[in-house]
Amino acid sequence: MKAELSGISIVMLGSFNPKIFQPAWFAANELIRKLEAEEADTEIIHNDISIFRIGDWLRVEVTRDRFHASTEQEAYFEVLVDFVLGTFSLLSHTPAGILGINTSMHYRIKNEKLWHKIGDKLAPKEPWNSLMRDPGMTRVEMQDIRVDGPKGYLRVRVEPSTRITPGILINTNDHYEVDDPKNATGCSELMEILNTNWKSSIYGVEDIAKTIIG
Amino acid sequence: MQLARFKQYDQERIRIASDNIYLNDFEEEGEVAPSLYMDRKWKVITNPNVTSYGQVSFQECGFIAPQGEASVDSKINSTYIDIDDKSNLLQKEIPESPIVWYPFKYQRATLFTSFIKWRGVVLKIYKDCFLCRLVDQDGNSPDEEAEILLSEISDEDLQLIDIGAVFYWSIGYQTNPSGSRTRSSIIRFRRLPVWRSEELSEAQKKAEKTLIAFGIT
Amino acid sequence: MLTPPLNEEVEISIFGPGYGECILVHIGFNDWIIIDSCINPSSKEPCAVEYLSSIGVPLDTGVKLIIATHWHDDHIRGIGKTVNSCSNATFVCSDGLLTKEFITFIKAYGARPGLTKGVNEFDIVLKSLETSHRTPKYASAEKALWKRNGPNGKPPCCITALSPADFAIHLAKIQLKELFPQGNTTKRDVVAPQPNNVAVVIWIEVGDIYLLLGSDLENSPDKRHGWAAIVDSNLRPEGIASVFKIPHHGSKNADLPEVWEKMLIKNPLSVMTPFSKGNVSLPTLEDINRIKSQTSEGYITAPPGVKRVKKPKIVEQFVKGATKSIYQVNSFFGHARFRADLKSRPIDWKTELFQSATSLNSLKV
Repeated sequence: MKAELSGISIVMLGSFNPKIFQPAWFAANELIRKLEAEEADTEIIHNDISIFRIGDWLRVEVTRDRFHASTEQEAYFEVLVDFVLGTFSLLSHTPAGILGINTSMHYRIKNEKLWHKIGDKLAPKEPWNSLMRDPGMTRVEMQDIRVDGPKGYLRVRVEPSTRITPGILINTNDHYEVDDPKNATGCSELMEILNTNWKSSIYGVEDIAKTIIG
Repeated sequence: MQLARFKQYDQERIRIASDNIYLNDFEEEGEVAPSLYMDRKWKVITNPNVTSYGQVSFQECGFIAPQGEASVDSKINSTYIDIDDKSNLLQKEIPESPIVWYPFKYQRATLFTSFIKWRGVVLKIYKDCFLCRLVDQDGNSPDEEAEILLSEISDEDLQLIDIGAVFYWSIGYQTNPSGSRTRSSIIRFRRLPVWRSEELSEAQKKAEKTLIAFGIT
Repeated sequence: MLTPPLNEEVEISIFGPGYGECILVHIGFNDWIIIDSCINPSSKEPCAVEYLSSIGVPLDTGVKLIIATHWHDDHIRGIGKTVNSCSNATFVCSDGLLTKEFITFIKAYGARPGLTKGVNEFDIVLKSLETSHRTPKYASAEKALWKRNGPNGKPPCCITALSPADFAIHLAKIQLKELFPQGNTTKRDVVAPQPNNVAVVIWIEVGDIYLLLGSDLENSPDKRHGWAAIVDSNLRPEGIASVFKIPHHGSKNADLPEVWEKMLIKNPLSVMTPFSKGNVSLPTLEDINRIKSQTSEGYITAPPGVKRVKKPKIVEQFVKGATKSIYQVNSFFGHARFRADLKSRPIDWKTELFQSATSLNSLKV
């Protein structure tokens, strides 16, 4: 089941030096094209925070304790993963112990009747009828703790899409952590987790959508 | 944009530091050292309510909203600075690490919806094209082999073409921020860091372990 | 389809193509051998595991031997899962592969699944063997791989490797050394080198029925390896095979008349998988006619040739503009199964053809 609009982001929590995360650095290390670096839209590069956009496909935001890279073009999902893996292969001594692989997928629903049916399935109206005149689902969020593999959980949020009508937005936050994230001395373990799990985190949403939408 | 935001951000930091000079670690008579405050690591929190296509989405990994995070550790529940909204200034306790709330600027992005996405591997290189195997990433169609024209590859990616080089090829519709939709084909070669000697040493160690397990030494 | 063979029946099943091929041999009394692996394009499952499960064979006890005659993912897709599922089977691969250099090569690439591809399956196999404390066996020319001495009324069985020859192992080691990544070089996928110097040709004797499974072995001008080395060897097991898995998709490069003359009965049951890649399609018409001149019992798991899959118009337009040519790889998939009673003489092979499998005589060429 394919989303009509989709985006992903990869977030890491740890200890970063925002100032080195500049387009020129990425180009010098051949992680992006030189021309992309030259044409980058840089919002701010500072000791505390760096934000820039590369081409029309990548946004990077780095603070002292958070690295965030995102794209809203499906053609670049794997490129984004490569970008993060490549970056932290070079910066393997960066302490980081928490990883989030997040997706935002907007799905078009055939008709409004089916759209309401999905909402009713996730949040039945019946218990609310005595309390509300016209209850309707605005958002449902569920969490599942991971039992095998790396520590963490999966959060899924479903709500009506404001971009596609009738449509639904499915957000997922696949959270991973190493055993002792606060005392992580590098990020190799986290990159191993990203390398092994990115495909299921990103493309696994299709199965979630199939179950929810039917 | 960079200069304006940087200046604005830096000016706000200086102003807060000046406003809080009494918080310095030491103060010599007649001398004030606001730079000490400036030298402390400032905690920058970007708005977690980042939007995707204009709608709030997860942007965190266990990330908590600024107010929530501040409540976890009251020592850093101090000065919030929204560099776009000066009315947001609150001063409560002595801050150990000043917090800056840097608001997210939503920019409408270019969208891409693919009909097909292949993962390709270069098998042979010819004068004007290269032979590659294409694997459908959705698994809907069988593998194919194609001779792709070199003229289809961007100049910088041409130098990445070699036997075994991997690329992604997506074909679909691209919608730019102004809403115009065009058909688009994107071929992009993978950029991966080079083999590091540590990786190769690690592989050797794993191989030795395997051989010992198999009784081959 | 869903009935297992009888205890006293020999079965040979060949699946493919599906990036590689898979051969299953029932040597009687619920003992099975698996050679190589491929994926069923419909179910995306390894053929061997899927088929054996469908006929009620317990994978943990029924499969005795899994032989890999290749090491590249393109030829053994699904073998990792197969080795995992057949938890008591002995794994066999070419002698040229269980060296420190090759395993280091596997570990270097295998450590980054998804990052680079080509040897992930072999890495999964090695991990599975380590976890289950199974020691692999190495195949080389004239080496016995497995024997059943015939207790409890079971017919004796012997499985012997006829290749790779010592010289081929030496060539394979040189070939593999060139693939090993060097520091400060770019990470790329591993492309399967040609020819396959580690091809393992298998000779199976069950009672007095002989099977020759030709793998991918090709001829060589150097008689120290290739088919000539096998035919000329005075150490190879005696016997004349009644079943022949034709090597390398029936190509001329893998055909040696002496094999038909000295190692096979007249008119042997012969089977192969096709190969379609780009504008190369094996077997060619010439190959088919040559094989038909040697046997009237020739079968193929799918007709050679390609078919085009229809794609959305926008995709077709871009593909047409960006490419000089584009072809599907291995369009069809089939399963050919042959069963014979171990005791009946003459041997009467019962042929069953599933999906795209067909006889050479029925091929429209």
